[in-house]
Amino acid sequence: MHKKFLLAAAASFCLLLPTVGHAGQGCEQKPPTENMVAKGIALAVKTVGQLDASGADVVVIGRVGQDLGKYKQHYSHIGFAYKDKGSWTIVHKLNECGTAVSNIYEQGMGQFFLDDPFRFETAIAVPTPEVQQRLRAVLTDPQKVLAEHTPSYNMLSYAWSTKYQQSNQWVLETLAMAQEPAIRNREQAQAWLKFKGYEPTVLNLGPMTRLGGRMFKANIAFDDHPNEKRFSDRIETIGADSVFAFLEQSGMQATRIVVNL
Amino acid sequence: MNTSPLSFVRTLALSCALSCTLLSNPVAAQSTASDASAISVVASVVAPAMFISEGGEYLVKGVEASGKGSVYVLEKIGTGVRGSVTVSANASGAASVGVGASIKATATSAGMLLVSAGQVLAIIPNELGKALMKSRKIS
Repeated sequence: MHKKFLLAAAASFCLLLPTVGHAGQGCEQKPPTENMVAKGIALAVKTVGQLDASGADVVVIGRVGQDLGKYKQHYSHIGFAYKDKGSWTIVHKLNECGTAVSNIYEQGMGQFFLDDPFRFETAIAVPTPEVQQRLRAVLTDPQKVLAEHTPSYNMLSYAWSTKYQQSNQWVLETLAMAQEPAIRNREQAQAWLKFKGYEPTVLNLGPMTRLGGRMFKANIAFDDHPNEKRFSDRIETIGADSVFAFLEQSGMQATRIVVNL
Repeated sequence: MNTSPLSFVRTLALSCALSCTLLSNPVAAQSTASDASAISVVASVVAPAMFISEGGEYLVKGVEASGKGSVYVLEKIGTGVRGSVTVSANASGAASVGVGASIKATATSAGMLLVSAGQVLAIIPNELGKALMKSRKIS
């Protein structure tokens, strides 16, 4: 009996070891396949067509980078997209592979969908004209676009802390700053979001899962979460779906478009 | 307690199993990047007219490093005609090929894909492709 358990434990360690080896190191990206690239380009072209037809020139756009179904989440990552001289540019925050650092990138629509997504689908929230105008003023200003950016990255950062910032959190806080010009920092952006009724995504992550994430991934931390929530397994972070829901509930969204292949 | 070492091992095994589950499918992982480009872009093509644009299959006759990236000398199968393409520094996870590998060029709406064994080495973007494939760190 003891032997069986020891064998099982040893097997678990064997499974774990390759992951441990990659902690804090580069991404395990596979070379893109012809099929994946062709589909990514096709979705990008179709999305640009839908965006042009919408008449919008600033939107919030999301992708299904991975299957988050078991966490009851659909979209995994969001960014802004704006149109300039007939061409669309995505502005979003990316975690530098396997590290606790992130940066803001401007990319073409093709790059957005060539990241080996789980599903070739995108959601586009078209804000009201006033919201678009305010966002545009921020996104096209080299200083303002970075005003809410914190490089310290935590994939599961707490929604009401400024210690770390994950990708969707940068979008949400930049949105807040664009809507309320008096906002000067992340604390004020978060206060505005609370006041406007933003509700974070709640994940139920037990102690063993948290321990595993903290120990073996450079880009996961829980020390920004309040103890009473952390120790009751309640992790409040910013899921892409929660941002879409907020845009709709707050009246900032005019229409929503979903594009599939 | 007699059972505590066993209990510890069991807890540890459970922890490992749970963390493996989490780590292989990290919840709410937004996105990662090394250089943020999912695909390499061809910086320049030195070849006779239509060498790439009409599509076809090629053999890699040479690979050299240059200041702009890797220069691949290609020979079109069946014609013996040669040309070269310079692929900008490889994107993370990009395919790499050596001398003797075969490559095919296939058309997409964003430009020609250079494909080896089903994996994309790079794209030669047309005007649309240039807009779709741009990538710049601004922070």
